[in-house]
Amino acid sequence: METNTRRIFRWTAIIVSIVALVVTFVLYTLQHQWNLYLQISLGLFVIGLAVYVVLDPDEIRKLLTGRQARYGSNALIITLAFLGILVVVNYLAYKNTKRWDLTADQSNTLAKETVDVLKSLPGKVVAKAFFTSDSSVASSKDSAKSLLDQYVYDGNGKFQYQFIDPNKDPVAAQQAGINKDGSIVLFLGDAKQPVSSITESDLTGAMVRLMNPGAHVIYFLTGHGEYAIEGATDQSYTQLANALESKNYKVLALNLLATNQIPDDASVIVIAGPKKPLAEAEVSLLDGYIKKGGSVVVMEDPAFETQFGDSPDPLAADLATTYGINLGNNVVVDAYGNQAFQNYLFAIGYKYASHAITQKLSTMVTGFQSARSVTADSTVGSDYSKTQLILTVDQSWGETDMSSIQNNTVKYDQGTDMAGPISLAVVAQNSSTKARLVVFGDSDFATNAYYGFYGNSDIIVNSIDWAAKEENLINLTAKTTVNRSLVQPKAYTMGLILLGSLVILPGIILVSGVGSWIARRRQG
Amino acid sequence: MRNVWIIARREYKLFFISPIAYVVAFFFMILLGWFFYSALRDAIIQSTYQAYAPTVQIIISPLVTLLLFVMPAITMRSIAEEMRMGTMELLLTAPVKDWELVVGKWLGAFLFMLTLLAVTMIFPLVLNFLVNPGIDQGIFLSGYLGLVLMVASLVAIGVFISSLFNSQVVVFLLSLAIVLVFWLVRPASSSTGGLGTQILTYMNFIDHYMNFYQGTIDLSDIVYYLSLTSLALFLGTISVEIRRWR
Repeated sequence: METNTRRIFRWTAIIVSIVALVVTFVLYTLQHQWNLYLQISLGLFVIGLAVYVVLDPDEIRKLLTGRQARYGSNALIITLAFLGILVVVNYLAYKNTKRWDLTADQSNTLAKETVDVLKSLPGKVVAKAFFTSDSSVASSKDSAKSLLDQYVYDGNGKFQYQFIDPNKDPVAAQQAGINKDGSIVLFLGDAKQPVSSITESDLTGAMVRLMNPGAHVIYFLTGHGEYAIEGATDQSYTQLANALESKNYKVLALNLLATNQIPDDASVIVIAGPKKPLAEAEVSLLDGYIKKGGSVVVMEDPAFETQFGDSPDPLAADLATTYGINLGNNVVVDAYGNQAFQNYLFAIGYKYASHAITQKLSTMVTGFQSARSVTADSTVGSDYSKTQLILTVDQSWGETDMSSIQNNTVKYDQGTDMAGPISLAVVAQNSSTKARLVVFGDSDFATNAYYGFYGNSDIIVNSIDWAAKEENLINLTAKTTVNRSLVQPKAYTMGLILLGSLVILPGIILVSGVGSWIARRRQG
Repeated sequence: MRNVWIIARREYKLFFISPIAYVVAFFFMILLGWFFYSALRDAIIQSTYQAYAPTVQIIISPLVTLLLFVMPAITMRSIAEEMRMGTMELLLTAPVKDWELVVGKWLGAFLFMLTLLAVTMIFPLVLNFLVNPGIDQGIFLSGYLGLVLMVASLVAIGVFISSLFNSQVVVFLLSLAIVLVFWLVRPASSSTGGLGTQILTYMNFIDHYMNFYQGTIDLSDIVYYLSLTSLALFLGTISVEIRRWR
């Protein structure tokens, strides 16, 4: 081949090779993917280099064996040695690192209880964090990572985590049983436990539950026409049952009339919308269970939705006389429901009491189709501390005139109707027996038909969780947080800051710059 | 060691003479001032709805981004200029060792950047008066410590690249490119966690700052930045040495 063409080829080859190398870097930095384009550009780099060498092997030989090469290879060896030392030092530091939390609140340090739980782990726990690359979960992904890093640091090798994108690995996501972007599931061997929220207390709580897989059984009462926990119709509780099972609860049906005793392993008994009244015998069994520290969640609809007719309601009577929880003989008429859904019988849970059940509900409303009021009487059942959990808006009332509802002629009658805001649920707790009760004036809100309505799923699951005393598993020592607040600066202060930051400070720099330039020119 | 100090002092003084440093510092401070002012305005609005106090992070966050772009501009001159002006040969014949030259240049630029950082501390100071009872000193301390370490390694990278080429423009662009690569490197999203993934994850420049940003000082982060600094200075020394034979 002629020398000139050869030279042109060589130069083209080396230029192509360098450009290909740069493109490889850029592609990888931007895409983070080992894809075809990357492979092609890497290939071009190698081929270009090879052509460059092949077209003039003599020059390459001189390059490789000349004096510069010998000095160069020395330098290379020393560089590799230096690099080796750095790698070892970094590795050792990475594996045996120490951390110092300088924050005043100690917000980057785990509580003593968490560290103790980590110490008592019987084996390796793997936390799988499912986050897509969507920007809406980006910030909670960052805080999840720093929280998980703290667990790894204090875990002494027993805690590991990995981030999985459910879009890219749907099999893993399904195996873990997640249904929300930004969830974490803990795995210990075969057992798994979902974490309800990405906070230290829920993460540690999930670890504790993972170590104590004793099944917590939730019994749904049957025999009175209650809706079933199986079947996929609108009028069943399958979504609720599935949610509970994914939290490692066992969900079973209980026919008290047949078995005549409360099972020993019952964590919570749920009475979900009986269409016929409970028998006296059942009520006294439940009373006995509650007296021994049991937990019951009652959801009872207004009379006209049931087949109670005029028969007495032993359950409601018992709730009123023993515990001071009154199920009103009314139906809630809600102006908010009327305004939002053109349905004045749709009671909307607008305000919540401060309680563990509603803590995370803050801005979400709940919806109860045809509900009755549930109020607390502090004079009765005083050994139970009661709270009216959910309130409607002020412009609502408890209508006692059932015929006006059928005729569509509802109006507020002072004296007979209950004035709003109406309480739709009551929680009760006995501090000595540790018994817990939650009573709702409606059962439809937890059925498949209304389960997905805003806060409905959260409130029923949280209520059952609370009743099962799950949140008591771990109590972290509260960190003393320093309350900081911004002192609202006056307009004149803000003006001063604006002036200082944008004019004075840069101005000083500009002036000194000009000054030094002038001084230099003067010196010549 | 005395040589290092002599060279460093000369470099430091030169910064206050060169117009580039003033221009860079001017834009740096004016941009930072603007970010501070608007973040403050947002914080005022937010604090009327909920109990909220801005932390020193509203200053550090834009500061980091500005630094990443400013560093190549500050260091591009260091060795490339000497090469171009021909004073490099003079330096190389003086009884100055190669590593003393490189470290001296680095130290001079580093001290200049520390001066700039010290000037930026006026913003946390102002914030401290606007927050009751005061900003979290721990985050302030760890945040600025992390900045110092980051700046040390960025200056070192800049000095190293500056030793490779004579053209300041090439040095600036290449330094910027390398900093961006270190800033953005992540393992391939399809990777499964092998050794390559772990190495790529470790190499990310910004990830090692996150602990400092949140108030925690982590030994492995300190080791990372010191390693990067020493590696760049080492390679810079080798590069100057190689230049000798040319």
